[in-house]
Amino acid sequence: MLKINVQALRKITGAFLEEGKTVYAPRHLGMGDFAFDRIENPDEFQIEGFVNTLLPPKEIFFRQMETIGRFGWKEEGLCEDVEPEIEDKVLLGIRPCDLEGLLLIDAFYDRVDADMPYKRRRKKTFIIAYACPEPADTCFCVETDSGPWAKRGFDWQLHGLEEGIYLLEVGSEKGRELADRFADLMEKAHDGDLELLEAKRKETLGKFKKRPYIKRGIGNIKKVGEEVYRYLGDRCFRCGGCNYLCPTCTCYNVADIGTRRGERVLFWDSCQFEGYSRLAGDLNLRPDQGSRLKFRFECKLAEWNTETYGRIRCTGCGRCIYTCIGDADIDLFLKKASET
Amino acid sequence: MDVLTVCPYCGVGCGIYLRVREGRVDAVFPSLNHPVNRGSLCAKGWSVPFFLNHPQRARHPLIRKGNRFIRASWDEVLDFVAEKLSEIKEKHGPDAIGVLGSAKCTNEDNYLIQKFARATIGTNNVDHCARLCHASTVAGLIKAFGAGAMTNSIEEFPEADVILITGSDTANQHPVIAKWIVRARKGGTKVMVVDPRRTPLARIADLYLQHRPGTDIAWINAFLKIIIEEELYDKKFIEERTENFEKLADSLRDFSLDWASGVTGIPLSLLREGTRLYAKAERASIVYAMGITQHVSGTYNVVSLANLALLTGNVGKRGTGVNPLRGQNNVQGASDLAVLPDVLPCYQKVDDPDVRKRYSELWGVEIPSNPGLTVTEMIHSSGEKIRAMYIMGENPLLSDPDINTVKRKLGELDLLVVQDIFFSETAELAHVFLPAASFAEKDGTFTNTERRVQRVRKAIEPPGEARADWRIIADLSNRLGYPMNYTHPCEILDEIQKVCGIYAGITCDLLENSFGVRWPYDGKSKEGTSYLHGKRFKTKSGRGIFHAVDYLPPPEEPDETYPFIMTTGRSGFQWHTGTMTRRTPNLEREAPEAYVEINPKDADSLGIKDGDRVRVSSRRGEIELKARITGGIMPGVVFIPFHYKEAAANLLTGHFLDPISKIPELKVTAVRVEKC
Repeated sequence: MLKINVQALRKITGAFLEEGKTVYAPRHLGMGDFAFDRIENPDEFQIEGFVNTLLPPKEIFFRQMETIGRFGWKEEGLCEDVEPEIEDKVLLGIRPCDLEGLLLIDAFYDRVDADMPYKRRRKKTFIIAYACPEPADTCFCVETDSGPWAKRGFDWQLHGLEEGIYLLEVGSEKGRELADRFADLMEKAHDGDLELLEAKRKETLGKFKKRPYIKRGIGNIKKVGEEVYRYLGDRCFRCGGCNYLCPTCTCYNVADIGTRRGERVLFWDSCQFEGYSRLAGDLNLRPDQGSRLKFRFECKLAEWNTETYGRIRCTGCGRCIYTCIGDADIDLFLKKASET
Repeated sequence: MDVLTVCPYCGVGCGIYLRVREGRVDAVFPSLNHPVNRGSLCAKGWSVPFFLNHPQRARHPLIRKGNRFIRASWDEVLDFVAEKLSEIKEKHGPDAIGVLGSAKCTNEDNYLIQKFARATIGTNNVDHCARLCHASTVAGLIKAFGAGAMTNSIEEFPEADVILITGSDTANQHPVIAKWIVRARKGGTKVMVVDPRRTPLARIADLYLQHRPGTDIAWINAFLKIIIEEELYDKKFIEERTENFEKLADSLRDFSLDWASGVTGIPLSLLREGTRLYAKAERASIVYAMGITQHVSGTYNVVSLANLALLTGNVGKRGTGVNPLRGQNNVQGASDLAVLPDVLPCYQKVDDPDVRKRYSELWGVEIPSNPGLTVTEMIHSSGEKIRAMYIMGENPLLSDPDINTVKRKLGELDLLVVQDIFFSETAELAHVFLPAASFAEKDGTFTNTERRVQRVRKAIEPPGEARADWRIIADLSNRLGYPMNYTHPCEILDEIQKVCGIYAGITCDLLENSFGVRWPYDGKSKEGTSYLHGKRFKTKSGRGIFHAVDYLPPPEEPDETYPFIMTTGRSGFQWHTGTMTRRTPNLEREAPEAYVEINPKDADSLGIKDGDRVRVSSRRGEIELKARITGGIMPGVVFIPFHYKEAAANLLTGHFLDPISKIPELKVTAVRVEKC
């Protein structure tokens, strides 16, 4: 473990920016709101003092909406692809739950041989994770084995010791190289630092709301009765927010916007919409909201996920809990599932 | 770059960030800390970037030549409009010109457009779509309480012991307020829904009463009667804070509960249960929307709800009140700033000489004294009294009742100017079309349903040559000889807070690092006033006023030829005339076509199966659409959303107006349903 302070981190960020890398990091938008976005100078980022950004950083790679082509009749049959920009990226301050989400999206798209903008953007990304010191009361990554500190997928991981001072954990060969390069901005951690880290971690774990029903609920997923889905279905008002904010959701739709002239747009879709699973002739294999919720919970939690991805595809970030405009969130579902 | 602004759809006023990349908005997300939405958005809010970036966004001014529109420069079109307006004013007088503002535009746009009508042109013929949604709220609540706005705030719902929701499909139309109600219920608040349709909130309510459309006064009077009978009223509150109680009590002496049960279709036992639930609560809040207001009895429906709150002392404290959910993002602001024919900003009567004198001095020009015409009156006297109309951000060709007549009347104008972000159905009839900037392309403020004035921020440039509404109006006014020399909307807001008392102290500086301030602003509390009427009502006497209200049947009752009651409304995935949502692929996929909801019993007797094409006709027109069979609607009643031009529900509705607020009867129309 190495030790680094925030000023040194800003210097390193400045060096990244100077050599033409794009840096994505959390930024304070005002009034307590934070967003993960591209920063132009090293003073802009703030990685601690808040739990997480509202949008998961997956949005950097998998855009809410993006133009993938243009067409036009008048312009002599205009028909062209729009390529995503490929940048040398640094992702600074990503939370463990969101990092695990990225890894799951990687795994999902690795299974399909498609030339997705996501895949192209995801290449050449240096990841500096930030281990969470403080959960929100909607956080449950401890139950889904995806936090509060990351165990894989990072090049560096920062562990806060006190404000502005971090232990830096190297997680990859690339991470080792860069740590060597910036060695004069870091120092070696002492035994006392490591002891302090252990104490901090224990403290963090103690702050999580106890949710014994999560694991029990996941274990029961096959046995959950229709009445549970009906109950939740009555309380889902189809905003799509749970999908949009999920760090592991991958579904998208493609539509042509405009008639004589326009754009082909790829955008986030939600399996909670009735139209998502509607077939020709208005046939719908998931005709009611309960069956759509069942699909979503199974897509995240069912056993086949473990077989295919090595784990469930919920990382406990809690976003779908606070964004739910009804009363049909995963926490309530798992409570009910655990009672099955 | 992420720009904090306000969602442009409904009146809830969610705080959103627009993510700008290379000059385009390509993502939207909710604010986590905004006191209204706290990290949530509805499906419409999540889809905002689609319409902003749509290739059909209007980019250039257009002028009609024969049957075609051709591109023209701003100077050309503004000169033309100014010249034509002067000509018409000269020949027919200023009252031959009608102006429509827009509840989708900012406070600054709207303040300027009514000033343009009154000061530049010299007419009070200025109105907007609040006429079609909450005109009766403004009229009714001013009668009872002296102020036409939501009495309490969104954050207070969890403090209510009972929430009575009537005539509001909250989960679909104000989804983020539904979130507050659902969470309140989890915290122990009881929820009661009274509605002809079994809405999503009705499904999870503690008590649901289904009544026939148009019989609101009957069930509310039944509640009042039971409260008096069982002495559940708040004697102390009535004595100290209200007047006219005796009159109300007298009027209910001979009221028959059995009759009310018969006419509403609600069993007497449920009327009693509902009454007790509401009246026994320590804090009870009433939430309502179009189901109450869009009736010929709209004003008195609202007054009746106010009676209910006054009788039980449920107003003037936290977690109570009478809470109209405003439809459009800025319908509260457009109303506050007097895009209404009978008042000047802050609801000051235009026929009051003292008020006129004050504004004449402020604006340096004589204010016309006679109240102007309403939306529906202007349109129906088009080609006669009205020779020119200037329509900013509205689409009456789909939104107004009896649209065959609307189309014919607008076609008879000497000049029709339409200013919008898309070339709408109404624009097709225009002589001049002016492309406007959307909410994301201009600065200003919106006022949400709980009176929260919030900053709208420019995130991107408007497409093509489109311009902000306030700027277009100012340019036109300058040409007509009444100078409007503003360089930024903040200067207009500054003028607003000087002339309009309830906005006093609300400036751009105040709103800069803030999620908005609820009027009236006392200069101290960070978020302004949470609830109104705490110590005094805003009436002349300072007391809440009871009104005796008699039941008024709807103008069209079902008969042999037209045996069904049609009620209109909206889907949660389309917005009004669909100018924005029908260009949004995921919303359009979710609600792609018009449908009529019909009860299984009725469908059975008509031989209609789910998904069949049916013809629905009224005395004014007919449409063909898909049948959707649902037990959520009572026998004898059908429901049609009004968004779809291919099967426009407003071809069927009639021109019947509430005599006080002039709101049309959009909720009860006698129709016939046949299989195609």
